[in-house]
Amino acid sequence: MVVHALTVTSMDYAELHCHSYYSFLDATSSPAELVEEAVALGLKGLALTDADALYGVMPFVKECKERELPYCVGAAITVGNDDTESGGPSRRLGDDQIVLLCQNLTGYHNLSQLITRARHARPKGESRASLDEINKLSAGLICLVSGEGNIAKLVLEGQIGRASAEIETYLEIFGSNRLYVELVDHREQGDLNRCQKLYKLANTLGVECVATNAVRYARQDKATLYDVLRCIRHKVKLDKSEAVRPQNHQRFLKSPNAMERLFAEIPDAIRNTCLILDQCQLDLDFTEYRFPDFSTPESHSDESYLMSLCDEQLTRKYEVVTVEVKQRLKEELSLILRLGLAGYFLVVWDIVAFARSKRIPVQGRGSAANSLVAYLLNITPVDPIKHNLFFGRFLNDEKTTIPDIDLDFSAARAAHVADREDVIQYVYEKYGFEYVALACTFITYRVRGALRDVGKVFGIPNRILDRMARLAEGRNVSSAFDKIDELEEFASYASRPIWQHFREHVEAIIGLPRHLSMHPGGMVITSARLSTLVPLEPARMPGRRVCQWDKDMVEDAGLIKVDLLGLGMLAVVRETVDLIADAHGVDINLDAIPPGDSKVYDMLAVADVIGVFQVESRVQMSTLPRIKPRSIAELAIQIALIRPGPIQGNMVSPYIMRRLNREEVRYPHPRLESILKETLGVILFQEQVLQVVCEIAGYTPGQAENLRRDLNKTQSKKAIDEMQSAFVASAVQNGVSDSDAKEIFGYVAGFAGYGFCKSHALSFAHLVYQAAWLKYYYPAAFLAAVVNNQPLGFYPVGVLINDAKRRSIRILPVDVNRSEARCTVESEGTVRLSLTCVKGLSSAKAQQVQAARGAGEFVSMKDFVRRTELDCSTVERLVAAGACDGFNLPRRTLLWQLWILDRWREHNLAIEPELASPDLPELDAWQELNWERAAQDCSPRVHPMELLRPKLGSYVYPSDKLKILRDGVSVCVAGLSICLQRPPTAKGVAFLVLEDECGLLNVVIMPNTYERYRSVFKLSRFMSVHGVMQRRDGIIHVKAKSFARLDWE
Amino acid sequence: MLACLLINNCDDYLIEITELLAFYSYKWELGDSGEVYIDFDSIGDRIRVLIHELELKHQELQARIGVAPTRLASFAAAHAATVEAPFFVSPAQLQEFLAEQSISYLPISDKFKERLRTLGLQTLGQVAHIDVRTLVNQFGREGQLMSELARGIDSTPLPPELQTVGADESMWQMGIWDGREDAKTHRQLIPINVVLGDTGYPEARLVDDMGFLSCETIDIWTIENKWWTEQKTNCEYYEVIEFGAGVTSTYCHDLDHGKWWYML
Repeated sequence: MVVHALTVTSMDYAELHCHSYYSFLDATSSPAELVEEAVALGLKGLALTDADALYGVMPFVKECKERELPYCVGAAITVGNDDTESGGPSRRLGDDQIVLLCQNLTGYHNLSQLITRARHARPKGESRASLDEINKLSAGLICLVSGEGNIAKLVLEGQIGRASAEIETYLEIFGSNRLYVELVDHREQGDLNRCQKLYKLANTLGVECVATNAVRYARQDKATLYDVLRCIRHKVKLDKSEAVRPQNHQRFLKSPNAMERLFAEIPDAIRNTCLILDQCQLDLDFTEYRFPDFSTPESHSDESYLMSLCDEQLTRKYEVVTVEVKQRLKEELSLILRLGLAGYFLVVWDIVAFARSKRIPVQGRGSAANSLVAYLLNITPVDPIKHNLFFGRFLNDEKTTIPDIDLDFSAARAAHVADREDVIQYVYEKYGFEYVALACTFITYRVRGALRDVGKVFGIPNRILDRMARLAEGRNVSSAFDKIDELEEFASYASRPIWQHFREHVEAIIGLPRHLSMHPGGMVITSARLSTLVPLEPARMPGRRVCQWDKDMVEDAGLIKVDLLGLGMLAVVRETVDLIADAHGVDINLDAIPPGDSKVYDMLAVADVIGVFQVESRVQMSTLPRIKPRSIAELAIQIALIRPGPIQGNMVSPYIMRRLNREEVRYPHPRLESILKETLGVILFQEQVLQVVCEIAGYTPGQAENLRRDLNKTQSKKAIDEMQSAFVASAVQNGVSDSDAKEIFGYVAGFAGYGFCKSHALSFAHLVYQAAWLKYYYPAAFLAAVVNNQPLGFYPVGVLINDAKRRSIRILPVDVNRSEARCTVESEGTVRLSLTCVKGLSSAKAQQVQAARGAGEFVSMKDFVRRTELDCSTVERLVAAGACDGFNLPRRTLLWQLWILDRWREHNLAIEPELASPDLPELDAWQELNWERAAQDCSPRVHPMELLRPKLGSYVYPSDKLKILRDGVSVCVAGLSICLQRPPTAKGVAFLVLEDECGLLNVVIMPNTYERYRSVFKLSRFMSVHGVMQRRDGIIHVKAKSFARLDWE
Repeated sequence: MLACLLINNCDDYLIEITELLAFYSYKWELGDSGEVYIDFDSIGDRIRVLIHELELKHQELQARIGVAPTRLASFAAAHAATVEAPFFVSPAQLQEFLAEQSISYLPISDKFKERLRTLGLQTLGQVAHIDVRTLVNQFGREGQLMSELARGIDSTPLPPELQTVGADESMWQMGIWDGREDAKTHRQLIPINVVLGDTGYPEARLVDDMGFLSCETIDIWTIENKWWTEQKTNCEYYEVIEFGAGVTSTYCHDLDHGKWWYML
């Protein structure tokens, strides 16, 4: 080995091998943390080299640019021969990992394609690039070989010849000017020896060396978290983890001095880091590729075709085309063409047209509904002229980003109907698999997931972790740990010394990405081959590919996406119409239903809305009787009112009081009357925020939109003060007094939380009205459709069924001889539950039953088991649910027979089984109920509280008796916990919905009571509540004072 | 009569406990749940001395004693006992005592225990009332076991004795599942020993050339999951087992080598 003289002069160092937490469970720090630490340590630059991925590139580059840190983009690539197709193991021992760094945009495109190919046709999460592919796509890339990989192992084993051959292979691909041997010294056993041997070998072959620290965490204090992540990744407990975690904690970003000391004998290896960094110059801006080419008819350009489509629709949509309409269209088209968005609108129009041609329910949502062009193209159902919608919220000259156009499609998931999936596949086919992909989402740790994963590593039993997870709230770790030692079931664990470590690591892991998932519907479509811009990888769902960026990263890269979202209520509405046609022979045209049906609005006014989209939540139900909407516009206000924006802006109560004529309508400034008139002087919609800002401060729509966005993003008081100063100064110049301007800014800033666009609220209001109309006139069909489209909405199936029973709808239980794969309307007001209501019974299994039933009804358990060939556990659940009661044997006897038949089937015995059963105890009502609830989450026969009621004292009131009680009296109620909410805007107050046999009841829990009884209502399903009656405008609440678990649970 | 000792932290002091037991009696064995069975007829009241000696050595050790005619009953009795007061069940009280005990004491698989509960059979009395044939039909050999134990029948010796069982070459045929294998290999004499395993079920072990039990085990069961009923000496070197009436063959599965055999 060549020994260099020790030097003490400080050298520059750039870290060229660094993993962020986007290497899922193999690193702990975010790109921002890494950049921050690199700057603090004085590194010359930093490379991000996540494993087989470019997930973190956009935030990394953004952070580096902001902090002016030279950067390099790359990836650690798994290299190996492809043997998955031959049925071999997907990851062989011989796989190696190399680091590839992009010199320029060509290198970036190649790296992106290489990762795409390495992941192609492999199971989700797996990647392996062949040398052949690397060879084809090596241009613009610098390669670091070995590190701690195969070549290093060969060298340590003394197989120098094989190691040389491997390096020479890469030498042929990259040449000596783009190939480096990576030296990593973590001071683990063998590291020094390995570095010395590699250095010697590299010298022999004429290859330069480069030092890295193969970083997995920014600072050393994250090292134990890294160990825990490794254990999670490899599914081992900490005490058995020696084989999967490093020997020490040295994989953090090290200062130039520290690295120089480590490689004091090989200063070139340090110096080369900066030489490589200098060769890597890359800027990621893909704006030019953002729109796909739309194939217009021959005589048209995108622009002319868009204009012709609008002109064509103008006279269809408007009987009289007024000057206002013409002027608005002209302005919109002018802006759209100026921003080069004609092709974008055409792409969206084409998707909508496809959906409509296939009778797939679709409607635009979001701010796009403010656009007349979108209305004319049938993208949205809302007429922006009629509803006076403000186009500037959607598009304006100053917009720096292109707004998404979100489309809602029916989310039907039945075997024969897959509405949204059909649309997604259409887009893939139309633009090509290479040009389209779904945006990804990164599933990050929240408290419950963190408890389970970290708990397993620390050896905490699953039972304890499950119970803790029930105590957990949102991202608040304390909710799962605080005072837990006071609960008997946790005490023995919480007193152990390891408990504190467990808690610390749960806290530390919150927010870290765990794995990749698909965006619900965000499709990125580009004019360039998308795989050259961002790596694509197969999703677990067949036929889907996702890109390695989430929606924000896509936006940062200058690309746009079209959101093709699934909306369950569209599927419900469609299926209800179909069920009505089947059961009643009536063909409902939802576009033609009377728009102002007073009976429907009466139903909404008494909050009889369980199952109705958007207005069925507890808070909505408590405001409906006060607001009593009587039109689509008022329904839109109702929907928009209960959002964080209006709540934080203190708009809710003033609006309700003014609506009830208990408070005079007042405008913050006379000039705002026309803008705020329909919302009685308060700001409820995003458009109003912009209009208010424009009117008062004289801002342009673009400036107003920027102010709204900035207020949304920042929590810095200083930044808000600066915005206020600018606003007030402009307002004063605009003739508004200083005090008025400050007050109005307060309203605007108060709205900073999430609120609806008016256009969005109107789109939803249309759907709410349709759903409510169907529920009122065809409740049985509506119920069947809602149950068929679960999971959906606010309430579990049991609540929907109980609500329907109170509306005199007859619910027939699951029956193997009657039920189908979906709930059906058997006769007027009668719903038959579907086979799929039983847990674990998929549509495919249900169809299996239906197919077998084609040969005649099942007459016995033996007949059923033999003809359906369903697995034993599925049939067990069917028996438990009462679906086999038609065989006229007790359920226990049926199980006795089933198990014998199953064993006979398992052993394929030809002898006839002896099915005689002994006398078995009959199920009592409570057992029968428990069986049914275990099998299908609800019992259509009886509510548990009906059975519990006789055991409760007469002082425990059923929910329907509360209305006869006075406001302020003490009361005790009991019920089944349906939903517990503690919204961040409620200042610690929680809201619990209980259900008893007579209906739902609302319980308000103040912060002190919440803390005291948290374990009762978090860990129990049935409970009694002592409290005080509160009655306001016909709305009844119980303000809780104490809770008690019902013993017989 | 058998005594069952439930000793807390039994695993921590296993060696000392077994040494002590071996000193007092040669008829004892360790159970699966940390309990110890000892022949009460031979040890009698000296069992108190044994406990006292244990407690002297380790003050934190505590033992509860149940004495009853069968293993299961003594186990249940030990659970009913306190540290201060042993629980005795005389032969005359046996049926009545067992009838009220939970089926959780039965040495059967958790799956079958869960099924018994699902069927509403919570006590040994309920199980005892069911015809043995019906139970065997549902639970196989475990059905017979639960029936006998619930009725107070338990002839398992203490400690369990090894019964050498085997077959000569002519009795073993190649299994239908591995017909492609070399017949010669599989026609050789396979000496096996059948011992009662920890759970009270038979398990077979291969015997090596020196006659020692191998660690490899073979599960043996009949096609109808019938329980072993009796044993007879039937050939020159080995005892051969017969099975319940009407059963003509048995299948053997060598778990370690994945081979199947059947015996005519």
